[in-house]
Amino acid sequence: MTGRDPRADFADFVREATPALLRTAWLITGRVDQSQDLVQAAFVKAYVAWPRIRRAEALAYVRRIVVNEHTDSWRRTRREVPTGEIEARQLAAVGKTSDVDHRDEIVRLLRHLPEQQRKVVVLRYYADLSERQVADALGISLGAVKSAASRGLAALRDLTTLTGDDRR
Amino acid sequence: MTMPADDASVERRLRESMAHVTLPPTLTVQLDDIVRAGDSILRRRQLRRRSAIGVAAAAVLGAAAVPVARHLAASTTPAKRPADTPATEYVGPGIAALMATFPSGAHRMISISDVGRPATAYRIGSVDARGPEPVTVAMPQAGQIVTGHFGGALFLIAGAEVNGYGLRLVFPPDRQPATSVELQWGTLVGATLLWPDAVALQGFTPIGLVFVDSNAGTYDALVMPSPPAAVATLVFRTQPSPDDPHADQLLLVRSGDRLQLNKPGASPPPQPIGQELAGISGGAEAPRVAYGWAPAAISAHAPGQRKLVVTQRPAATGGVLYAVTAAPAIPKSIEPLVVTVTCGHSSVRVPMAQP
Repeated sequence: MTGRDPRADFADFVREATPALLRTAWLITGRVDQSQDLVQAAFVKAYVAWPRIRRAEALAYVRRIVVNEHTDSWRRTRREVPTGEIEARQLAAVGKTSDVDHRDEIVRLLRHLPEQQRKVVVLRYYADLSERQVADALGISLGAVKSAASRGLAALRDLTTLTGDDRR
Repeated sequence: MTMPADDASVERRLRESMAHVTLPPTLTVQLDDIVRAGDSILRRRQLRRRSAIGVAAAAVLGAAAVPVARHLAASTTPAKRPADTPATEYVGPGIAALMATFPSGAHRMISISDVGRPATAYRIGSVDARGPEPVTVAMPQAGQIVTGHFGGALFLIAGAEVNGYGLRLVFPPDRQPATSVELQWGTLVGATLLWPDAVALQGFTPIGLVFVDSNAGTYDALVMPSPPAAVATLVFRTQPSPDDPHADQLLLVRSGDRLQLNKPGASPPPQPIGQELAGISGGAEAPRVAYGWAPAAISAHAPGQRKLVVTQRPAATGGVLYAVTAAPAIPKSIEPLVVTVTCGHSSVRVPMAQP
């Protein structure tokens, strides 16, 4: 912690960490409302514990909360199937861009992976954590991380082939 | 996204894709909300610590304190017991327990917890000690739904599970979101409580819900083999407003091959929905019922050269029964018949399923 006002310090952290955490949540969930809830809830927990959190480790700490919250949430709501999202309609209304297509594509592909594989792939290849760090964050073994990453990559490659994206 | 063949290239391409993924513009978090919720937790922790200190001090009093404590508990518990206030019960195909609430950040301010082990009720409360008194709603049986308001939020809890229902929201005329979100689809599936909190709806509280069976094609075929097929729609009356407890109600019922809109009228208030059903849908088919608001207008468009008839007659319940029929039947190959029911400034579009 710095000698600054803790609230100001926390506010700075939120501003800095929000894009990366939202992106992590978005890649894992593919849902706006859920991503928002996960990150917001994680920040609230971090706020409560802020005096005990070392600034250099804050991002990893909150990212771990996001992942754990998602695991808890998934257990509670895994039988829910969203029928639609407002944001998708709004985006459709203003017209698609190449960025949106791109975003939709990777998020859609990730949704095909099982929960654990998706988390491992996102933490390993987006958050750039080491295999050991991913294992610690998810509370699983190193072997399970390696296996999930390998299968996840293979599945993504197969999916792009199946959907014909590989023909370019 | 193109995935090259070798692993190293796949990794590189994946990293690149994820690093440049574009977030939806509405995906944000609010620092103010975070700080407010965090402060609320810290305050409650402080209160709990004070309570724990009080308990420790009381224990010193020993056995003599116990009868006093029991007496106090017996006299104070009823006064603090949450009101059991289900507003409407619906009996029909089972729907999983779920909840919808849309005020800004409400899902972060309202907590739901099970009561009893195994759970026999849901307790809906505020995480803020200054919030409204909690409400306890008995866990509905399969096929029953209860709705009500809590802290400006609309909640709905149903028993058992069903798939394939869509949800539209109805907003009060003077408090509507942007036109594009006047009626929204939500999630109405699953065995858990549901907290849709779309950014576009934050700050807007729906006053009604319209449920549409998105499996209408297959489901209706089971219960309604003869054309023209009718609507598979559920609208649930929300808890009566304290300002207008006798507001007119609209009842939508699928009866045989017709969509019926029943306006029970302001007085007497509508009968319990289960009783209404007994006289209207009958038979073994799953009843589809809707409660909403008094319709100011009903309009409908029938594709092709079909004749559409809207009739009304006195209902057995004392109100007016509207019926919409189309002839000849509408085949699947053309656009569905949509009936628009207007209540004040709100319109509910009711698609009628095809055979």
